[in-house]
Amino acid sequence: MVTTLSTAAHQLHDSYPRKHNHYSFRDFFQFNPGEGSVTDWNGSRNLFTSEDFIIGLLEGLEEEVGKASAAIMYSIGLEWGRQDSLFFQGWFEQEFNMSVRQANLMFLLETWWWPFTSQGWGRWEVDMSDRKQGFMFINVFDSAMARTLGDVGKPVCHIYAGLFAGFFTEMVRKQLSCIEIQCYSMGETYCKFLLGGKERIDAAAFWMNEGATARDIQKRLRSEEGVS
Amino acid sequence: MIAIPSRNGYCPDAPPWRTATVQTFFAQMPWEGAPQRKPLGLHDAGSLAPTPILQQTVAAFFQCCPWEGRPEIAVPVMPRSVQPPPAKTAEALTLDDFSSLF
Repeated sequence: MVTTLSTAAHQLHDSYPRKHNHYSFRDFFQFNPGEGSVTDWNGSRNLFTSEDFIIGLLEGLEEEVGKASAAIMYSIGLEWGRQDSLFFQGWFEQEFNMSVRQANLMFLLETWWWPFTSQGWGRWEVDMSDRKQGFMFINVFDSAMARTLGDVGKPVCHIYAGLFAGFFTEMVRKQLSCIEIQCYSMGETYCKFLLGGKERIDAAAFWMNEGATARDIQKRLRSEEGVS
Repeated sequence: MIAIPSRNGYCPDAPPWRTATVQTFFAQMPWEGAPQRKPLGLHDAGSLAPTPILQQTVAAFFQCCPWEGRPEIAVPVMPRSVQPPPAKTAEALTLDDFSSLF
C-alpha cells in the first residue's frame, strides 16, 4: 500500500474525530468510487498494490542500478519517514489533544505504527532494552517486502530501514541510521532492525558483510558497551 | 561394723540458691521493691532452676514480655543503604527522555 496526501475527507473520521479504535479495514479506509480513490482515517490517499508490483519495483530497480538498489530503497524510506513524522505529529496532536513531546513514548510509537499495520506493512515490536547504550532493535513481523520476495538469502527490507531512520531522526532530532540485521528473506521467522548512530550502524554493516548473524551483532554491541 | 549414713552430708533436695555464687544470688534480689523481670526460660529467683515456659504462671510469663517495646539488648540499627533513584522504565519514557539517550 502506498500513501499520498488526499483532498477527500474521511467521513467517519469527521463524524467521530475522537474515536481511537479505528484500525479495522472498514473504519480505516474510505473508498471513494466516484473518484476512484481510497482515503485513510488520517486523510492520506492510499493505493492498493499487488505483490507483483513489489517484485517489479525491486527487481526492476536492481536491474537498472545493481547493488545500489538497496541504497535507493533506503533513501526512499528515509525521506518517507521524515515526511511521515511531520504528518504524524499533526494528526497525533489533533486526535489526542497532546503534543508528541508530552506523550508516553511507547504509546506514541504504537500510535505511529498502527496505520502501517492496517495498510499491510506488518506488525512491529520495539525492543528498548538497550536504549541506555544508545541503540535499539525493532522487530517486524510479516514484512510486505520479505513476504513477497520469499527466501532470497539476503535482507530485502531496505525501505523499512530507511523509514525507521527517517522517522526517528526527525522525532529524536538527532541523525540516526538503521540497518536490517535479520530478515524473513534470509530464512528467519521475522525481520530485525538495528537503530542507532551512524558509526554504530556502519560497524554493524561491516560485521554483516563479514558474515556476522543478528545474534553475533547483538552480542558484540552489548559486550562492547560492557567494556567501555 | 560401723554403719555409714547414706546421706553423709549430701542433701538432694537442697535449694539451688545455696550453691549459687554471691553475684548471682544478690543479683536476683528485688532490691528496689519491684519484682524482677526474667527473660523467658531463665532460672526462677527462688529456686534458680530453669522453669519451662509452659509451666510458668500467667503473671510470670507476661512479665517477661517487653511491653514497652524496649528489647533487653539494644539491637544495632542497620544503616540505611542509599538507593539511587530508579531509572525510568521503557513504559514511562517520553520522547524527550528517549532523545537524550542517543
